[in-house]
Amino acid sequence: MSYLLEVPPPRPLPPAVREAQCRLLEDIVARRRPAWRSRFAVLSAALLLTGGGVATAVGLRYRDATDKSIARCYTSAVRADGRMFPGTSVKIANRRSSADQAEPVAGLVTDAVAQCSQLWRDGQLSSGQSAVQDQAPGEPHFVPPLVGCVLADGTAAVFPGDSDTCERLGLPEVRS
Amino acid sequence: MSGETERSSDADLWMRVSKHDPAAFRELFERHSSAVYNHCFRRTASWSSAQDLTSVVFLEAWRRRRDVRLSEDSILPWLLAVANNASRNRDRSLRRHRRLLAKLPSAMLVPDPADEVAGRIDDERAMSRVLSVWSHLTQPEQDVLALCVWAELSYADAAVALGVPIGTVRSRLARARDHLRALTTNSTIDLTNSKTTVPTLKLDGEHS
Repeated sequence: MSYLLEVPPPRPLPPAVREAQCRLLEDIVARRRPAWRSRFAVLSAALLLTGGGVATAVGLRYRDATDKSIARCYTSAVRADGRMFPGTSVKIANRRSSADQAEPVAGLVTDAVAQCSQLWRDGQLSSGQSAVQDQAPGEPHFVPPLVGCVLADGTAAVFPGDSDTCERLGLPEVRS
Repeated sequence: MSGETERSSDADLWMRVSKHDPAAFRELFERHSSAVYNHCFRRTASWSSAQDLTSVVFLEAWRRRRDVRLSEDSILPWLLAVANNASRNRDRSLRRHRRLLAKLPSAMLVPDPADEVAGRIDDERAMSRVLSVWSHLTQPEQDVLALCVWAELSYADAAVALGVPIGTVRSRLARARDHLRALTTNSTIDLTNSKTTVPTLKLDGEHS
């Protein structure tokens, strides 16, 4: 069987983004800051940060996932808190702790990013896909950079993206 | 065509940029942002990341304006080399410019027609598949392939972009081709470097 890997055709930057980028760059290029002002700004920022600002910023930015019974693996960096979202939820089912227990004991998702990474690696998740895909065992699949955030209900949500993704989605990053 | 105005060269524009001329930077951005955007997408398989990285590449161009190298009067090869590095060190690059990037609209806030969104998702899926093969190549091999095959730069332009002699570009490309061949049993790889080549990576798994 032959297969062909094609590069998708080029696409334009969304016009609104392109214009915003242009304006931002124009603004930066037009700016001429006197050297003394830059140094003063850096010094002021450093003093502010060492005065306790760091602790506040970190406290707001990071949060623990309080509901570890479940985690969500998103296939695109889109905020959707309801039941419908692009991706899937993961739970850990432990083995029975004793013979007399009829049901498996639900485990805790202690490392949501690792759990979701595994689904990507196994090919069960792919970019933008809303449902899990059944894959026969084989070559590991591409795993995009992933980041864990915390939803309002305290569950961890793992998105494809980087350390800025949670902030952009208005969510705190999960504390590791 | 009558009424066509004379187009400034990249070198002229860059000269003006270095004197803090925002209009010149806008012109360079409009000229090359699309190529940079699509190059970043091909390196990351994410349109959203490509959007941010396009900004990063031009911000880096400004930050490192004294290091810019032109190739036959074009700044594009150098921008694509910056894009290679920025894509590879995506987190660090985005962190460095986070404050400025926060001023830009995020991808999810930009309204798109549904078929456009679906098309972009398909692109990301297809590109992820390609990158899963590429991830087995060494970094220099990936860089040279991305520049010469996908971005269709000439060997000379790629040499300037990568800061290596032209012979090194040729040998890296040859090694990359061999490496890809080894990765796909009985494969043939279309890596012909030419301005007319369609930026397609062909990997024929079986043939008689």
